[in-house]
Amino acid sequence: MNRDVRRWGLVTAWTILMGAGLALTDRLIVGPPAPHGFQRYDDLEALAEAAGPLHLPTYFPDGLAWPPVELHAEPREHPTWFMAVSRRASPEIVLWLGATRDGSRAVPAALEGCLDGDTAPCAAGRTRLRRALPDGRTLWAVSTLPAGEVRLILQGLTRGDRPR
Amino acid sequence: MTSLWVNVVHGFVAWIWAVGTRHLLAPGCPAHATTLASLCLVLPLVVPILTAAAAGIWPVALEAGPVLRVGAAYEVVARVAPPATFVLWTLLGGTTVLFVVQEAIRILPGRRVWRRWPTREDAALEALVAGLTAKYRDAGLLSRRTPAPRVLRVEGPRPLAMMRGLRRPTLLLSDGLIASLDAEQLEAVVAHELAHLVHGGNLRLMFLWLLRAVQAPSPGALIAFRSLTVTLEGACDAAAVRVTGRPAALASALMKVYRAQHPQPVPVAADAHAPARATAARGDRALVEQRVRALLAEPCAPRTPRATTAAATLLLAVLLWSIR
Repeated sequence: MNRDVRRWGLVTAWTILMGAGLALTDRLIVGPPAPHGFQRYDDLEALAEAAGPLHLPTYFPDGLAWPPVELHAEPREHPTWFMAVSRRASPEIVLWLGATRDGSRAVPAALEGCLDGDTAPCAAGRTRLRRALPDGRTLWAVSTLPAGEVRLILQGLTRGDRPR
Repeated sequence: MTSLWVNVVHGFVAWIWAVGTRHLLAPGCPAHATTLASLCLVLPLVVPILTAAAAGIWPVALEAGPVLRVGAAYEVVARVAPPATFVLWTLLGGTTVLFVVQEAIRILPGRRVWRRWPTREDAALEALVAGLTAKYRDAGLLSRRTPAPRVLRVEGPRPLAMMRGLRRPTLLLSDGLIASLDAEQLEAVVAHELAHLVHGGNLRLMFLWLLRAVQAPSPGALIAFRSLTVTLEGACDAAAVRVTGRPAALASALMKVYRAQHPQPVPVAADAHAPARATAARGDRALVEQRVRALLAEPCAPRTPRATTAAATLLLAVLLWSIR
């Protein structure tokens, strides 16, 4: 019995040693891992660097401020990202645009619970629309703007661009 | 493409882990080596499927990042040292060609020459097989529901013992083999062939071969499957010794069969195929020597305990799960 315990202890240690070796190889080749959870970014270039090509609006109602006031991405959930758009006249966020990968449920804190299920418990007065992409990802638009405008914004999102 | 590289890395890592584990857990025990080699073929396919299926089911907090990011590592290698990717692709291509030439073509129906051998039934052999099957059942190595396999005597002087068939196995023993062995040696050889049923028989081997075929480009799968076919023979030897209690009889039978198959060393210049035959003979000899040494050493477990298999599966699955 003792011999078996000792042997399995050695096998477990061997497994941990191999895991450590893999982690070391990963750090040497790829570098330190991306931080966990949603990170905020200062500009669209940095967001695209972390999350890959972005889907940017081609239809953008007058009165909304561009660039977005908040940019979020979950680097581990590549390419999950969200951007918050406010009005020009006030800092109040009126539109969230984002992309999630299939199966991902991570969202920025402001959208917590907003994308779950078919009838999400979003704050009253918000419209939530989504568009499935052929690669299995989903584009989202959550807004207090009129539903028709939100639909146009979502339909007008580009196929995935690197901002210039 | 990342899935392909993940599978290749899984196969490679699984094999290194299995080699280390084999030496730590039970050095020289072929049954454990067979089990670990099987895991090296099964888990690199199963773990990514389960990981993908589990995504979205378990809580986000449990979705830890991978320890080794294969896709990102490949991108870095392709960016920093493009010739290295050429070498890697060549390795995968070469492994696939090896699989097709050395393994896939060999199982084509037209190459199964044993189908054309004349055979007949033999009451004495049937009694021997029935008696040994009962011993396997008594030892708890075969289920009570497992029937004794059919046995046929193959006409011809060539020494031959093999278990054929997937769902209804048939044991083939040649006249040449029976004539060259004494009663104890014959019993040991038949016990060895029956031991293949203890280890799942041809059905399990075919299943593992299919898994290996799906992973044709993976060098780890290639090494694991070839190792499995070698260690399986040792595991069957151990099981045969467990029921007959005569390791020396099996060892001497092995040497007799080897000598009958390779009566004289072939001169290198004899014909164009002589060097290849000499190499194959050396390989066979090394294998026979290894099996004889194992038979004459300390007895080994004929089969891996389920708890050992479960623990090894869990550890390797966690290790492979961390590579994505």
